[in-house]
Amino acid sequence: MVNLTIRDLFHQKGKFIMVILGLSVSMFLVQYSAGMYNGVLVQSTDPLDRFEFNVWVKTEGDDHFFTGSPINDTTYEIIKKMSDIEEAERLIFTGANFETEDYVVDITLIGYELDSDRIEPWDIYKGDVDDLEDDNTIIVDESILNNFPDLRVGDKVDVGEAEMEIVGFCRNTKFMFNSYAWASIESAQNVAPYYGNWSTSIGVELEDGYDIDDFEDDLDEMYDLELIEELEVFTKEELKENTHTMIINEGGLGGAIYILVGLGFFVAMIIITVVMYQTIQEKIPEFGTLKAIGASKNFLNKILLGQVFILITLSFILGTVLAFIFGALGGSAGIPILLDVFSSIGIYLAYLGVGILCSLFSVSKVHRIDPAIVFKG
Amino acid sequence: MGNNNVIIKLEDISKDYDLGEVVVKALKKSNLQMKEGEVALLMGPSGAGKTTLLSIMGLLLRPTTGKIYFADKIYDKKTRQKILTDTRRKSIGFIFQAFNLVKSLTVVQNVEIMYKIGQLEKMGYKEKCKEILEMLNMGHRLDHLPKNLSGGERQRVAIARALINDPELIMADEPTGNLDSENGRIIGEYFQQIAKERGTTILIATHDDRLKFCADRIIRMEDGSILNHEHSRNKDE
Repeated sequence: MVNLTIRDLFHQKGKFIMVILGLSVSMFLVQYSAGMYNGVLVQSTDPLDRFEFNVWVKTEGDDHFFTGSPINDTTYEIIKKMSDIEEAERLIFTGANFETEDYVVDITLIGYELDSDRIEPWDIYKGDVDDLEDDNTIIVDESILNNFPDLRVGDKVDVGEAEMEIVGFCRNTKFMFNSYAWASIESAQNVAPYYGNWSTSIGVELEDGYDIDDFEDDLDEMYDLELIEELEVFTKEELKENTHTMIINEGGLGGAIYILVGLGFFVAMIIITVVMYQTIQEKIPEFGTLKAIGASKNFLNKILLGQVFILITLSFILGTVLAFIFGALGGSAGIPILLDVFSSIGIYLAYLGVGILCSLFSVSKVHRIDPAIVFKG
Repeated sequence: MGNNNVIIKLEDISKDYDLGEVVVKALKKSNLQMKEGEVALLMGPSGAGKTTLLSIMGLLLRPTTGKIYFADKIYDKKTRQKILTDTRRKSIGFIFQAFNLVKSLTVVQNVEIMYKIGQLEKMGYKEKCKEILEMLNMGHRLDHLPKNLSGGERQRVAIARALINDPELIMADEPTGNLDSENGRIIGEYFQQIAKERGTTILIATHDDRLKFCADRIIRMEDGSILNHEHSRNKDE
């Protein structure tokens, strides 16, 4: 059966192709931005997801994972011995300089308890985690080789105030362009020896029946007794959320993404509005004829909105393919792009909504066409 | 309506256009009846009101005053647009000077669209479309686009589209205006055939005297009024 919607759309092939390309670029922009947003946020708190602690202790005022004012080991020992604590481990998660004779870059140093069951580096492909038992040794993410292509196992580098020996390499332990380097907590403490024995956060497992509010109250009590420094307690989810908020607001991710997404939708709005208006202008006699021979408003709506639906859907498919291709390229260049089904569906529905809204003016114009114009006076 | 082979009756129909400072009386109070199977020409100079009368009879325009009796209903200036649209779709066919075919649809699709509009894709509709196109000698051009057809061929497709729903009434506005004499004659012969074989009532607004041969009656208009009706002397009885 005749499908006027499709035949009309494809009748002007050049115009159709240009519109699809334009909308696809718009959708690629939005999808890529959304993928970057998801990817950066997920990658930022990947360690929290992997480290199997649901409660984290940080210094008062440090409300996200990336900041790390030092927590004295004395405090750690007190917390570890609390009766309702099943397990507690200290962690250093801090920025540091990674320096050779030629070059210096910022890395993130992760110092952890080597006998931990819950915290350890992943995806080691050279060396072994047991090699970290030697003092001042690190396993570093392979992304460091982008800046130091000649680095090998056995090389010595300066990390903060300490000279460290590279004993291994791992993969997928980084945030954006910032490589992670793994060390024992003792080796990591040497990076900033002026802090003494320190860590930046304490992962805690509470015993059943002892909840986070109780834990916080007990810490406040000990602080009041000047037994420990002032601390703040977060669930894993709270710490993740705070970290994401920090990246979005202070890190500039939010502003950049919103601009790109806004631009993408704006381009789509312009394209759809102009194309639909032009289509109506070209086809006034045709629509007038359809109305004269008895086409209802619903029939005409289906033609116009059907065309918007097809344009958006085809563009979405092409834009998504582009986003996946460029996402893979971006990932290999260090930019985490995470495209997920729900975000994509949400973007598609948003575009459909925008498309329908932008074509409403043209739809109403068609409804106002006087069918009597088909007869020439 | 009283007389049971009167298909359409116009009673005290007028049409005014309010242009702000001026009110244009496009059609003055007029009365007209047409019978089943009648072919009538509507003739007169430009501005006589032919298109206005045609538009009102075709339910494309609401009259300012008066009533239209057609298809077991009464229509006036208050009739809802949806009712007018529904009646046009079911009971009236239109043929235009510029053919007004859908450029992106093939010949057969331009006829099938009437079923799509009416949501009447019942069994056998494709065959019916082909039959009617074959009757109009367009069976060999079913998959061609309008741009590949001559003027006469396009008008035949337009006639097929107008006929496919078995309308009681066909409104034709200068159907031979863009055709040469030979094709114009052919179109006139089709009108005769359709009226005779199907009982369709056809009203043709035209300046073309050559169509008189197919008409039962000529209705003359001037300055918004129907002047007279004359039986066509050129028609073969």
